Amino acid sequence: MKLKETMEVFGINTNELIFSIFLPFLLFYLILFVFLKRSNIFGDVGNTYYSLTALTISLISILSLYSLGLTRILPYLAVALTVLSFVAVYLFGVFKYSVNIAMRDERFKKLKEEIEKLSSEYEKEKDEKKKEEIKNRLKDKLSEIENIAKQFGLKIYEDWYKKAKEKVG
Amino acid sequence: MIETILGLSFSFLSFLIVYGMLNKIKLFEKSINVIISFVISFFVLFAFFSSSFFIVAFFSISILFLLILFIVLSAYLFKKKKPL
Repeated sequence: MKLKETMEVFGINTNELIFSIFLPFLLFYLILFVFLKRSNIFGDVGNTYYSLTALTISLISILSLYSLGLTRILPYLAVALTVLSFVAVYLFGVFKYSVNIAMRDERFKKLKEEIEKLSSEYEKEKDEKKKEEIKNRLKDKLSEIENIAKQFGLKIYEDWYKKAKEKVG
Repeated sequence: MIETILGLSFSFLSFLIVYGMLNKIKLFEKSINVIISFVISFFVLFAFFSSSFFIVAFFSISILFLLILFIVLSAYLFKKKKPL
């Protein structure tokens, strides 16, 4: 028993026409147009040229996928991939955060050593250009160590910190 | 029917790409660029009909790969919060 009659266009179900043919066609067109335009592969030609090329490539893509019968799996593939990649990115973020938390003691010690080394290098250096370079690196390291100290809920009052802070200004 | 449209589209695409590239490098005059592009697009048209299945399969796989790459890249850039 048929529950619902669906409309057909060119012998293709409307649902399939929209979700498996028209929307992927539009998506391919937009992606290709942006990539072509940004790559500037054809030099100084108008937008029409890039648009025509993107349109042709997306037409070929959709027709070749349709002729192989792959358009049916396209929406499912896109949805599955999107969900999977976002889950992977989220899990990676959580993992990175946990590693950061677990390693912050060691990172603090390492940063302290680096700051002390940079401070002594700064004092010994005579070339103004190199001094400026060291100063910038020192600034980055200081802001990083301040961040870690903030996470601990501490303020640094030690000599090495004050010395380095004076150099950065 | 689909095969004919695909063949013609491939031929047109090759014309667009070859003409665009030749125009960019400015090696020949415009009329010569057009002739070369026409010849190559005809060559592509005949080549397509002789081994259409492989070309269609290759193109489908490439475009699926592009789609996968786009989705993964979007997710990655979303995390990094940096525009493409």
